Amino acid sequence: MTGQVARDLRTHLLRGDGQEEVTLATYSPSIGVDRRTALVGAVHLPRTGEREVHGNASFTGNYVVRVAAAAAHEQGGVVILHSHPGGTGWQGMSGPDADAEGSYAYLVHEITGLPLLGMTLAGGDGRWSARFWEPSRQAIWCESVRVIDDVLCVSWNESLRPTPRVRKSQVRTVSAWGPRKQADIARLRVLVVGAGSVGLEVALRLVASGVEQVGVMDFDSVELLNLDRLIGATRLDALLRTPKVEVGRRLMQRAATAEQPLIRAHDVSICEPAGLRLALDYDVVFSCVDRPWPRAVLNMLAYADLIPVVDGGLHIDPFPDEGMRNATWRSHVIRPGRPCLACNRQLDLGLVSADREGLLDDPEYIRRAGASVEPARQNVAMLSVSVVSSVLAQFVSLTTGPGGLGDPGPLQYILSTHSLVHRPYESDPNCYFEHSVAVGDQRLDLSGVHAVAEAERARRRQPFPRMRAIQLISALVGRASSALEHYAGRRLNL
Amino acid sequence: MTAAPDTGLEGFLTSLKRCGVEAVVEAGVVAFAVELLAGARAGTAVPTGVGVDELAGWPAVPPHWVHFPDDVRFPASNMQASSRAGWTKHSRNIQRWGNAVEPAQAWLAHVRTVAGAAIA
Repeated sequence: MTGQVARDLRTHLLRGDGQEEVTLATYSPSIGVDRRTALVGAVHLPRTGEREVHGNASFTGNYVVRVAAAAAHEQGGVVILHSHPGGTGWQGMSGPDADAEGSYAYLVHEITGLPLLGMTLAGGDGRWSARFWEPSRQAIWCESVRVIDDVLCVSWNESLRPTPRVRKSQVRTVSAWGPRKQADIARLRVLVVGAGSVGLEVALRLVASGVEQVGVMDFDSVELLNLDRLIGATRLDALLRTPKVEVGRRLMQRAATAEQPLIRAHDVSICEPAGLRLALDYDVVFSCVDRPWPRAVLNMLAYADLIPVVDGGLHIDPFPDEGMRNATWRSHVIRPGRPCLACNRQLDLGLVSADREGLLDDPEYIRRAGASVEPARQNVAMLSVSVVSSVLAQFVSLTTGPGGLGDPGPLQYILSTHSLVHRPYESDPNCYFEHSVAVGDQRLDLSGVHAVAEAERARRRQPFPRMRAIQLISALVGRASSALEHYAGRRLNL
Repeated sequence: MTAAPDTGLEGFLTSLKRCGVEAVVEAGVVAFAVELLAGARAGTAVPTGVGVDELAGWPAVPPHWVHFPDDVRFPASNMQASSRAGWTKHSRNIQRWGNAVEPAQAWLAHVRTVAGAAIA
């Protein structure tokens, strides 16, 4: 849910007299490959006579039917929320509470076609807990509840996602923000879209800091001209045209400090329906792509599915003949409450259709269209690392809230004057993306067939026999290296 | 939390209608006419169109190509054949998309600007 919805709910559920309280709300489903998320939207406070407060709180069937009808109209589901004023942490269910929620599971499913969601607010520390109810009255506990605001606050179900043990290799990291924040950060599912010079480095630093579940997504392969920036990719990778995500996986496995890191390599584009669906399994997404189409897809995801997108980019401004006039890099978190990529001038929506059609990969089209659509090719490893630093700083602010402050809004660093500027962009009142908050699977689908990604994967499926042999030897060497790493870990008693 | 209405092809047609513009869908092109205020054809209604396959992202993402009958010509244009016989589609990027109260109004203004550069 958004921070605003969470504040509205807290205002109602935490009473001044210390009694329990109840309310209903509606949600939109957002279904990924492995995860089902309920995006809590409109709060439907009880009308007179629809609930009673008597130490505990109870509600009428008419109240449930009224909100279920509203939910069905919006193709959404129903949430029953109540408070435990003195509770702390993830809350279990008492028998009466379970009966009250469970008894409406069938009715709500009949009206909306979606499972009932039950949620509890612990008044002692503001933590949430949640469970879905099947029509058969069986409760399925959720893994986490995420509140997207200046700071991303996640309530964790300790029985499904226990606090990770702090390992010897993480002591310095944990000392920066303490074990509680580390436990929150380490359990986030983080996706890095784009495994280029910025994305690969971001992914490595996430796993080195102890984040347990990190995915990288890219359909592209390593080429010779990547080697000046893709630190860790080798000449052999360029020869074999190794998928960039496989290079990422190899490096991340070596750099990970979590006890059981789960590293996923997604060889797809975020623009493909399969890529978009995979992204819905994650809590935070790094946008390390520079093309208009993927950025438009991520822009929608940030608002429609309440998944914060940490985005950044580098712009180098060379003189036409020789020398550099300037370079700038930007970073920002895209989420409800902050301007979208189009509103903060980082996405030209007018180019999305051209990109989708493959025109920005068509040299003849670009030649005839002129400089207005020509992709910028300049990139320097020594500067792209500054983008890495800037987007990771945004992520740290979003997740740890240093000094009580969350993400700082759009930032720009200007190299020539070495100045850091807060960009004063604001949301456009007619922005379609920002009007799509928490619509989930009813989002406007900007994904589609990605001919370039399909061609790249098809090309890889037909290697020359000699290349296949080199790939096999390379894989065996990789496995031997990995086994040695495991041995070293055991010897170091990690 | 409901998705904003008026998306895709239907949304484009509805938005045009709110602007007082009637359109027909023919051979994969939404065709309608715009009255030009400037340029060599000022004061005339010029037929124009948008490819249906480019409207999947409407109104978040605008189309790229502007379709015109073949007799609407430009001094210089990056163009391809339209799916509608006797028409050509012209490559034109729209700037600063996404801030109009009525999205079709912004598209009509774009088309008027493009068509204003047409040769008589």
